[in-house]
Amino acid sequence: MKIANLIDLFRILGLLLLSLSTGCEQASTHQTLSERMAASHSRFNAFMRELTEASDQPVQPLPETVPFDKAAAKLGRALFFSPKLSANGTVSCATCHIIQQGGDDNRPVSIGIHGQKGELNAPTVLNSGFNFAQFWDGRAATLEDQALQPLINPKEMGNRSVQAVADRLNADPQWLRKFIQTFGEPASPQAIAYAIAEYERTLITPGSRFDRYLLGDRDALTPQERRGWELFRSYGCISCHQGINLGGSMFQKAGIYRPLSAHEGRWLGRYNVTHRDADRQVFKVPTLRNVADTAPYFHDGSVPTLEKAVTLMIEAQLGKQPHSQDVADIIAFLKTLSAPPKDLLHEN
Amino acid sequence: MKIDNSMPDRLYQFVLRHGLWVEGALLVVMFTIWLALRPSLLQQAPALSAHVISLRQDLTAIEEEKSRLQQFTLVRPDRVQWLTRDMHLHLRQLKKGVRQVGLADVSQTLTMLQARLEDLFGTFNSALREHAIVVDSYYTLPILGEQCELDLRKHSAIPATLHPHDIYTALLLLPLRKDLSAEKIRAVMPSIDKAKAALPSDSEACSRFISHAQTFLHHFSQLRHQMDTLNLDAARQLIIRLDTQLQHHIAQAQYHQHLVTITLGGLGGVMAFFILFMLILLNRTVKRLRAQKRELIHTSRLYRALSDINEVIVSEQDERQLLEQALTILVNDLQIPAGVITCCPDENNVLTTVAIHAQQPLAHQLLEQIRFDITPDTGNATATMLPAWKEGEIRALRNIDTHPRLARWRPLLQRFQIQHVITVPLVDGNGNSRYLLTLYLSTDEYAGPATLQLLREVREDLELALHRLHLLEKQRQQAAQLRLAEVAFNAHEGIVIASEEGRIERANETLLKWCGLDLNHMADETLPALFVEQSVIQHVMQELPHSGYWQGELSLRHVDGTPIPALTTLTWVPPSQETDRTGHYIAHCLNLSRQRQLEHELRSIQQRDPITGLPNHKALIDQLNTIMEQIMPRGECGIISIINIRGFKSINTALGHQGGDALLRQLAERLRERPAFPHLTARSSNDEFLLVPIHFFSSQDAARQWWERKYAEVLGMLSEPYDINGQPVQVEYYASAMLFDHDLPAERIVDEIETGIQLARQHGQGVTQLYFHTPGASASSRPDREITLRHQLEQALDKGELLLFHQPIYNTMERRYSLTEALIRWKREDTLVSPGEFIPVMERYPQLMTRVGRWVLRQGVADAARINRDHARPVSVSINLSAVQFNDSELIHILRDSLARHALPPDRLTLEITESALMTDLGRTRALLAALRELGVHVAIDDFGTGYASLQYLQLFQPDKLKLDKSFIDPIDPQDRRTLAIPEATVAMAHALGAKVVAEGVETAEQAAALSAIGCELLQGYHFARPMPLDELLDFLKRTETQ
Repeated sequence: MKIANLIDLFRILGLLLLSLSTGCEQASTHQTLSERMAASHSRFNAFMRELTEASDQPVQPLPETVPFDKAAAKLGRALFFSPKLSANGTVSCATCHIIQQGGDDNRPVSIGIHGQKGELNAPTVLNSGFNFAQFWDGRAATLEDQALQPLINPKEMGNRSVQAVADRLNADPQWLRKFIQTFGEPASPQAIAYAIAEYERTLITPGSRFDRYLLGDRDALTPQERRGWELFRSYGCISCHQGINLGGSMFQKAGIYRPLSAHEGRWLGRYNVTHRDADRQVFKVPTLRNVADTAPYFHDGSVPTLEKAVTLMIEAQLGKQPHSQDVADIIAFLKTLSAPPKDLLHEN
Repeated sequence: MKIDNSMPDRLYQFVLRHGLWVEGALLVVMFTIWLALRPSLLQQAPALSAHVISLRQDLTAIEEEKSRLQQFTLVRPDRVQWLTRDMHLHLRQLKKGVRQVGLADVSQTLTMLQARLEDLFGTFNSALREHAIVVDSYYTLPILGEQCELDLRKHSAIPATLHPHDIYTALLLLPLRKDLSAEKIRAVMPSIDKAKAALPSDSEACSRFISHAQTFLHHFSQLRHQMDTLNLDAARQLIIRLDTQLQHHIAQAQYHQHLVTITLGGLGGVMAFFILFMLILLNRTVKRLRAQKRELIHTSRLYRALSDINEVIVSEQDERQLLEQALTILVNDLQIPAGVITCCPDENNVLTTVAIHAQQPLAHQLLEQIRFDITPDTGNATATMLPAWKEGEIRALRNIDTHPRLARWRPLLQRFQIQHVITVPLVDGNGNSRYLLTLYLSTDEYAGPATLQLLREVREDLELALHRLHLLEKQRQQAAQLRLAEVAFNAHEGIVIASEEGRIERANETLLKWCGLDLNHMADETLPALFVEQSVIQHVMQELPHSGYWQGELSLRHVDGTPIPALTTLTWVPPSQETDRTGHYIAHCLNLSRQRQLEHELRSIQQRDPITGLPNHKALIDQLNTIMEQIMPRGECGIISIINIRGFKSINTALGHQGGDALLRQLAERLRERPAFPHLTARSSNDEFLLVPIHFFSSQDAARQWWERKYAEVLGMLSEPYDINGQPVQVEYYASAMLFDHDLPAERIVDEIETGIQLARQHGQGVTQLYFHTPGASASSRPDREITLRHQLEQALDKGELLLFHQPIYNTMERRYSLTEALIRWKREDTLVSPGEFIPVMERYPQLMTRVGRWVLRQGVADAARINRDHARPVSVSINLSAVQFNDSELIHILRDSLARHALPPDRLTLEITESALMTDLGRTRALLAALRELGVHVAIDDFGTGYASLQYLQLFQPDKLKLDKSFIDPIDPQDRRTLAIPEATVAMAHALGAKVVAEGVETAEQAAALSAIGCELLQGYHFARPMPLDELLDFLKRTETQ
């Protein structure tokens, strides 16, 4: 056979294979986003599983980096700080979740659109990607699920619907361009959620002193802090506030031995989701990382100080009588859980 | 090789060339279709299966955590959460995938699983909660119990029912009990209630202890409850079911896929097979078509060759050409390497190559050099040529390039890619081979049956053609012969063929023309009727069958009555059994009328000189007669003159005969035209012209006067140079004129004047001389006399009437007679005829002269021999040689012969030749003198001084003697020294030349003395002796010897 013919053959075959591959592909951008999300989740999950499997300690240090969708995260950051997400353009995510200040707004409850007071204390956004659920009642399994809810909360961002937000964003050519650049399609609720979630996943605070201590640096903690860490364990705080986030991995009844807050009974917590009596006053155990920066404490933000929070916790949850020195030590320890958020976006 | 350029063929070509690729493309297309038809389930099957596997794994991991929950070890809620999340994710993907594929049952299972997992995780979470609390109190209880105990101790008595130690021990043991049930747990509670009641209310430690105990129990019970509910089995089952279902579906899908694959594959295979089959078929068809086409082309070429050959056969008339062209056609049309035609083996069995044709010039050249030898066994052309020639059958040999016997030819054959050879013999009617047509072929197809068939046909056609040509040739020859016969028949003879009865059957054109007849007239004519002498013919015809042949002169009758003289030959042809039944008469007639005419013309020619056109001698005589009878008045006289060209012979030699003729013509022209008086002219002989003015005179003087005037004009006119070929030629003449009257007839007049010029010539009368010869000067009728004389002379020679007289010549040196001159004498009837009479006559007739001359020589030699024998001292004899004898080829021979016969020393013989004779033809003279010198015979120049001889020629001649002419001797006067000048000079010159001098005509003693004084050695003349017969000479010599 002539070489020319061979080349032709290869050409033909190549073309056919090409058409094959494209034919099999279902060309739909919607799927792309979902798949992208799914892929991201899978990646993150796998990462976290590995992280948790690798250690048999109840508490692990934060990883220096996490896998994330960079383009989405960039867009997410833009969205996070954009008040355009709110109905009147006054409230952004960052309004209630101030990243440089521990990831919350340091208020008992947040102030949403039109200065409305929210209902519960804003959890920190920092390291929120490591939580097993979002919201105090854990109704959002993923950050994506969480991200859209403030948008349509009449007390928070006050949009009629997320689609309205999407439309508003699409009306803006810049936002439209951003979305198209990132996802190849205009803004959609899913895209918005994913972007913000991906950004939030990047908000980690590795390198705290406690983490360094966990990683082997014995001198990262002072003796008191060490004592505090020990007391943290011996009191039994660790039984709930454990895992990579020192919390954020289980639900627990707030007020086992005695009521935790004055507004006991008002907030139903998990019951909102499961509608089981046993789940009344069951809340997600919050992360203690950066706890020193996230006053006031508890779901209703009724406890302004760590001291009081710790004392209450020990009494109500552990049924023990805390000694003030122990509390001080524990607080000293808790303070070592703070670290500034890492700029993963720029690092990568 | 393209069949044609049509669409189907091009398509086919495309398919052929790209067939396999088309196949491949088709298969790939089918593969694509197959892939497209492939259920997406199978595409997703791996992923889905992976998800299911992960679910399983996660569940297993969760089981682990569950088991941890059962123990009082640290549970890892975070692990659970991530496992949960993982399972959720897998579930979600499974759901999505399954939804895409549309597996309802799997979907259902998934939903159930999801619900179950939800329950599970809910339960798990609750369990975790309980577990955390339980574990915490578990480890706190002992401490608090102790504290309570302490407190109780402080209070004095510990109720029996309340032993915190027991309580918390019991409580602590709870988890370790394997057979724990809810009842059992509940059973413990009352004791704690009791304990609580029994406890002092102010003991914070105890109340805390009890509180913890209660909490522990409560939550432990809850935990146990949760754990009981925490049934992973269902989930596991669901997962298994899921797996099973999925696998089932996948298997089904695969099965379907296989079906599709098989179907498509089968289809594809069938298609492929079909295509392949088609291709093969097409290929075969194409191959077949191609082969057919090739065959067609091949066959058409064969037939084209045949047709071309036949064309050539039809048009070509030449055998050789025909064969050459046939060969060329075969080689070119069939496109074979070469062919050769051979024939005619010689005695060495080597064939002659008649024609060669080859496609490559080199092959052509090589073939030219090959000699085909059909000697059996040893020849180089025994493969096909020999058997073909011998048997007359076509012989073919294949693969001669690998044939072992033809190894010697192999390089050549391979060079020109010759593989087969076929020899076709062309035989004649008798089956003998005449030619061999040998073709050298290169491809197999051309050595096949079709080619052989063609060659058979070609052979037939060529043989027929050759045969036809042969017949044509014969026909042509026959036709030629017939034509010849026809021509002969219609030759210049008149031929008549008559039947036995004498009826004319055929007459040729010539006869018809002669007699002015045409064939229609001849229809009923009889043979005798053609002739004037009918009765003669009839008589002859009667006699002819017996005699066979008669010839005679008869007269044919022209229609207008004119008789045509014809020499007639009559022949009788007897009947032949094969062809004619009857006999025939054939008459050949030679027309004599032309002959007669020619004779008449000849006669008329005889009146004219052919060269100049002037009347000839005879004509002039007639004309003169006519004039004398009819014009010349009686008593008056006329003039006749003759003009002789001097030395015409030499002029002729110098100018050539054409020049000579031109001269004659010009002269004649002048004679005819220029004289301003009426005249007759004629050319009477070779170099003589007659002129007769038609002007008559009453007296001789008048005639003489008139003539003297006119003659000068005439001669002057004639003496003007002639222009011969651009050269001016000067001519000199002898001329003579004579008066005549009626006394003499014209004949005699002419005769007289002709004789007269002879005399003038003899006397050598200067350049131009006017000589009047009176008529009647010679009494005898000259012409008659001359002829008689001649005749008599001829007879005299035979009769021996001629004899030699000798005149002794005195030698002044030796003072004796040492030389004699032989002179011819004629004794006729006892009287000596005057030499002056017969010698001129003799000289006019060269033949006679030659004969006489020969006789003179012989006789002279004989006489010389006799003289020398008789006489003691040597005597030479001198013989006169005439110019005529120069032409005698026998001269030298006779001399030599005679000298030898008589044993005469050659120097005893001297030949005397006149100076003018010597000068006439120098070439001949030189030759003759050389011959004579060679002989040793002496030569004397006679009449020295009277001729033209220049001193240069004297040296050439190298004479032995010079004879001074009498005219120089006569005037010698001893008193006058001047008279001796020439003789003296001559003697001196002669001596310078080494010659002696003979003085002729010495008549006085004074002359003798004078001559002797100047050194002249030999003296001849009447003073000394007269010519005498031989006997007398002998006596004279004897007598004078003694003196």
